[in-house]
Amino acid sequence: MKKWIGKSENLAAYLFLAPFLIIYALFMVYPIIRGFFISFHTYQVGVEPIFTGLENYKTMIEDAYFWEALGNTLYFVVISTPVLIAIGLLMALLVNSKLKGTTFVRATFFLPFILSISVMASVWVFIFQPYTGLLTSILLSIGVEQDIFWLTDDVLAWMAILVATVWWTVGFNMILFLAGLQEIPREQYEAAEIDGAGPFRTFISITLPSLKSIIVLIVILQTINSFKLFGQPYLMTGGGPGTSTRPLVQYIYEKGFIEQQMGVASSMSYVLFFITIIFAFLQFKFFSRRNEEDK
Amino acid sequence: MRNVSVFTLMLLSLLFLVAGCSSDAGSGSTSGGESNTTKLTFWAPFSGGDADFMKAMVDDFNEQHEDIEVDYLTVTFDEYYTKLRTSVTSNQAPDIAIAHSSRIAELQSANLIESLDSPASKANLDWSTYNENVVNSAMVDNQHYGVPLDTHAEIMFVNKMLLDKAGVLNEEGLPVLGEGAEGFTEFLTQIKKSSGKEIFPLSSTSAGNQPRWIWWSLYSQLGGELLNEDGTKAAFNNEKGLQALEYMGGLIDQGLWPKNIQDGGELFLANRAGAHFNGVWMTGAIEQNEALDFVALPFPQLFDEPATWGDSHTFALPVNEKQTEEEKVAALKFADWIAEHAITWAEAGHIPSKTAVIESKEFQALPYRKDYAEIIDYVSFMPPSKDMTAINDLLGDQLSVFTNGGTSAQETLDILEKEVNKIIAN
Repeated sequence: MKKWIGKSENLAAYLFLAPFLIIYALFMVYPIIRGFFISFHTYQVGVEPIFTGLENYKTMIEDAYFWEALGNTLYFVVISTPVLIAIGLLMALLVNSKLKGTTFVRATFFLPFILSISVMASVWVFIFQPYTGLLTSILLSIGVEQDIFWLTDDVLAWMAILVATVWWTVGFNMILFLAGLQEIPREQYEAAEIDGAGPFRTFISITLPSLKSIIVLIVILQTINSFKLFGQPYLMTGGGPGTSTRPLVQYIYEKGFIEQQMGVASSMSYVLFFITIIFAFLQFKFFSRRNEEDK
Repeated sequence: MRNVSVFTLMLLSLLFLVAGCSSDAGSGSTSGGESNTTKLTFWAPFSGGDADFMKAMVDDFNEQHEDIEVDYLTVTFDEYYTKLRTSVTSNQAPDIAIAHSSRIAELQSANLIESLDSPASKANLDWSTYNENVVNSAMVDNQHYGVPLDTHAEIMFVNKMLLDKAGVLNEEGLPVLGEGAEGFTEFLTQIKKSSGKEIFPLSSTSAGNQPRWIWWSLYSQLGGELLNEDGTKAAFNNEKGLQALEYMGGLIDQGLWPKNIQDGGELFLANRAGAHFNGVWMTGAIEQNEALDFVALPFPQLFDEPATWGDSHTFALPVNEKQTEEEKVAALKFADWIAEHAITWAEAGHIPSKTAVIESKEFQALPYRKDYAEIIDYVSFMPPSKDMTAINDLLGDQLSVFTNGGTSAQETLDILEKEVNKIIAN
């Protein structure tokens, strides 16, 4: 009898889960499997797929532009992740302090995050564009005669993309850090104060260790997000100058939807998928270990 | 185990769902059952002014035709061709759609568009009323695949005020260009000498399409070909290709075409550029600016023969099994009617494809357009190749690296030759 009740409860649970599971299967699981299938075929929309085995992967490995795009993506991950985390933490510390007006500052810091990417990119292109941009005009007005090409020099273009990305997304990290900061028990700080610890010592010995798990979470989320970089270079530099700021996702898009080489594009997607999986796996590892420690 | 079976059940129900979706969702085209009106769906990738002009033309057509009703839909350019492809494979293709002539070979090779010859003759469409050069740009294997609406080509705009200041404007208000390439360099040098740092002798965008269009115009003037005769190999890594590219490099090195221009049109609009290369569609945008006194002219002839980069908007018939012959004929009647009434379209700056429209009083009365309409006879289209989109993208990227100073002219051509051959081989 008891067993039967358990069964019907299960059924109800599955019924409630069904809409999600169906959509998940249709739009996540199926495309993943389908993409894997396509990566072994010559595939164009409208043309019968032809099985070619590992040919697409071979084409991909021999394609210098693929390696460049992968390199660009890794470069962005390396330069953006620490900056986004450090600034996010600093901002969280600032808005968590007992200063006046932190609610307003908090909202201001978070506000860019709600903008759509096209709006964000237009704003930053307007600031960075050569000859007529806001930044160039300001520099000219203070007597800098030298033209600086923020969007068309490969080093500066990355900086421009980084600045725009930080401005746009750092608010999210700030909110996560803020949540972490507010979970730290007040008593620990009081004890530290009694012991005569200065603000720096308190930060190193109390704040940072308490934030350990949230930092791990943000590092992983941020890394995965940075790997998925697409819109910022696509809209700000077009992947240029030339192809020097073109990330992997943009190259996959161009291969698949412009060159109509869905097969090669799918095999590249699988490389990216694999990298992302590794990070998701790391996240799982870290968090399951933490939970065990908690017990 | 129980869990698994529930999951299987759900997968099964999902399969039914998918099967249900793919069977028959009905196509966009329906021939009016009881009434005698043929309803057509029409897709185009136009935005801004172009979209408004097209909308006005379609509205006129609908008003004047009892038997045909066209439903016009604009799709953003970025996703237009992808959407067109998927619509054909899912049997939801529009009855008629705009396709660039540079895409015709690609669409045809993927079996996405149909030959127009049979429905065109039933619709009494007379190809000889169209400009031959443009009609040919939309042909594959001696068959018509596109009814051309226009050509939109690279032309030159000059700023009269700045040219006058530099002493390179004659009494008729036209630029004084010396002979050939040297003459043009000299012309730009005069503008540079007479103005300060904030003036650009030539302003054209330094990345993306512009470097490709300018190189292709110059290379075509030298009589160059992009691919070999059967389209299987790159054929531009030669003296002529190098000469054209080095000329561009020279302009950049001498500061006549300053590096890293993000939006050359904007500089020209702001009265900050002497000369400007851009597509004809800029005419409609530039003439809105009353503070700008300009002339629009064909792309200057710097080498052996007149030529300029160009493409063409054409009407194509996407493959649709459910489309009746009657609908096809109606679609081509519609295309032919729009081409015949393309005077509205010319307001955007495009050159109409029908000779009679160009010769009409209305067209000749439009300012600027007639000054460059002659280029329709020598516009140099990219060759028909199923890989043209990929090749164009590659050319755009790599030539931008060159204009940015990243590679030398010879290196650029070497890289391009290798990569173009790779694309074709794939």
